[in-house]
Amino acid sequence: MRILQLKIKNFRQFYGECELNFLSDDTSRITVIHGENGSGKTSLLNAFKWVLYGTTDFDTGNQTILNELALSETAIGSVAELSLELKFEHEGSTYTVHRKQDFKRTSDALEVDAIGKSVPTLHWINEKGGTETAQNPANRINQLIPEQMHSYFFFNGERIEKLANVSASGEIREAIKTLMGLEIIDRASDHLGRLVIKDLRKEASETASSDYRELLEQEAKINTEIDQRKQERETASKSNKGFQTELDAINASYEQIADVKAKAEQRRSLETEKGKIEGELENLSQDRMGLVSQTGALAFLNDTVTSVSNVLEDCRKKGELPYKIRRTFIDDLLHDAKCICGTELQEGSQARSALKGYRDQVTGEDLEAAFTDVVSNLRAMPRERNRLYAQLSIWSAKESDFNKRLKAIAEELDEISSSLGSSDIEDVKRLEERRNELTQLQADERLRIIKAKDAIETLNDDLAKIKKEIDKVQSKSQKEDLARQKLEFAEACKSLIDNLHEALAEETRHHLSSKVNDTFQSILRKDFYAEIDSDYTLRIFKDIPGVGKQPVSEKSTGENQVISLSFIASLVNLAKERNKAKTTFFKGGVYPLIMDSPFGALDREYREKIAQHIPDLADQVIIFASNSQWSKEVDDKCRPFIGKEYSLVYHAPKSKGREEDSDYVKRTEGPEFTKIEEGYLGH
Amino acid sequence: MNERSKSPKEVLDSASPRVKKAVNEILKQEQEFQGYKNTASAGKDKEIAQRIRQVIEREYQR
Repeated sequence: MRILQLKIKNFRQFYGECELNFLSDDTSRITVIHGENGSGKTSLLNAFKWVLYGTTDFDTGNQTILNELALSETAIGSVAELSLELKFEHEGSTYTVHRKQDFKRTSDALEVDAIGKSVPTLHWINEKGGTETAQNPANRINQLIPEQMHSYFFFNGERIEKLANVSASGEIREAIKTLMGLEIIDRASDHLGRLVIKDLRKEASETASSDYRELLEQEAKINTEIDQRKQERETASKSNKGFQTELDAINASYEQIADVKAKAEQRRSLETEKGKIEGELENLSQDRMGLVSQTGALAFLNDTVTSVSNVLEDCRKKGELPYKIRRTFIDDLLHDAKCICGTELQEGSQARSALKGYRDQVTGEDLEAAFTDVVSNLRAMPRERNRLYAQLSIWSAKESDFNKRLKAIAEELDEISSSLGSSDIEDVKRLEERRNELTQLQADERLRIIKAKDAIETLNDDLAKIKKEIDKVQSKSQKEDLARQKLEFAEACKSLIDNLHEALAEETRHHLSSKVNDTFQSILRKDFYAEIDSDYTLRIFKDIPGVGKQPVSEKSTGENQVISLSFIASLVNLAKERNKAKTTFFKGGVYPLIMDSPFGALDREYREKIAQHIPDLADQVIIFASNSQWSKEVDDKCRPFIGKEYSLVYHAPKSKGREEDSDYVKRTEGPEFTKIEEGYLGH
Repeated sequence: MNERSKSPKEVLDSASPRVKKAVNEILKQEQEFQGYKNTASAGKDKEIAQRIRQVIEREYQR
């Protein structure tokens, strides 16, 4: 998709008709729209959303999207029109989407009623020059650029940093799901499980013999319980994330308060260390379980090993094992018909019969090999047992150290919390109280998640047992058999769909993670790594000499913004790749990046680094920036790629002390509005 | 069996051709319904469930 033109009429600050044109060749891929705060940069970003999907991100909803000046010029009872038109090129066709909304002025105060619902129209000129019109424009638009994905291609700078928080993992998971078309797989699984299999089970139960029916009823009951537990887990997980978002916000607030910033940072560092140690303890526990299940029996076999060794040694001394003469040796003598002592071994001779008798007495080579194996394993067992004890001792010591450190961390955290809780600064005191509440609430939700997870595991075990029982029950009639077959076939389909879903999500996560890292490293330093972990959280790691790869606990604003931007650039890139792959589901595409304030409050170093990579982020990049963000360094890096530039000239109402005009702000007597001027008016 | 470490190709390879074919048809049906996703209702759910059911039934009518 390449955006060609946006026409605006009476949308938000934009009075009358305005037009923006965009280029996207190699040397003109960047379009910059300059404007001061309040001039309509975020409105322009929302213009894309409204024309495509009929929604905006404004808290006030769609009631206030009509330009106030246009409304003030409309008589009471008359109609004012708002419309947007977006022209873009996609895979050889040129699309024009138009959306219009009429409003009726209802009072002297600038109040309006929307007349009906805005409906888009979509027509396009195809590769052969023919004109086509979409019968279901909303559906067609959604196929071209899914609504769930739009926030990644049209993104707000204020939101970008939040992507790097743990609480954003849901958003990242959703983005991956949409990008891979996994929602379809999700829905297929849901429809199969919730509706089709349920019906088939009922049918099978109706035709079934009593024992089979009873098992089916038990199976259905367990499945219902599993669904309930999954629902509980999902609810707890959502609440947990909600609490985490609030905690992230509280932590960010602390960093704005100079007096407590250091303490908040220390706490964050301690909490990261705590999490890391808890992870290590979990790993230790898993390793120990693994070792004990593999070699734990050695601890109890000491006497048995000694007695078996003695028996075998006795056999060896007696010459019973291994036998002194090998069967192949006797076979060779019989074949040559001559003994090593020179006796002829003619067929039917007494000597030959005696030798054949020996051959039948000797043990087979398999038994000999087994004997050798057993003896060598028995010899190794005491050594292995000592190794097991030594390893368990090392781990116990490590565990004890970890637990001591955890205790110390808990004490330090308590101290910090109590010091912040008794702060003289009222805001800090209040924040700390809420933080403690949230931490407790989060702990409760985590407990619910663990309980639900354990219950699901137990129920799945029960389900497996029931399924085994069902397999054993023979069908009593052809009808019953057919119903059973259909049910089992539907279950096999659901199982494949679920496994496919998981495999696709994992594969995409790995792939995207590696792309995020490539972009991240190209912007930042090479000894820093970025990844999307198994919980779909964006993480940063660094190489510490002598220690190796370690997580970065205190990510700076710049690092957060770079990793988030890397993620978005990787999504754009993956969408492009998927377009080439021509898959069944969401087929991806070449998308532009439209960024409102991508530099946020970054310092000069990061701003410059990001600016350097902006031309590489996507085939077309549209940036909205204020003068304070559009520094000389940014301009120098982007200038060779800028195709079009616009300046938003904001006409603000005159107020006392604010009457001076500037290039970007003009004072007006009436309601505010913005005019779009081509070119860059400079600082 | 834990499918966690399997690639999508491995997952598909381990399924029977019959199941694979049916799943493909089910997913196609779901894709046709994609346009309705923002207006999901019980009636729509029932309709797609019926279509999926037909895919399963067809396997046993041959």
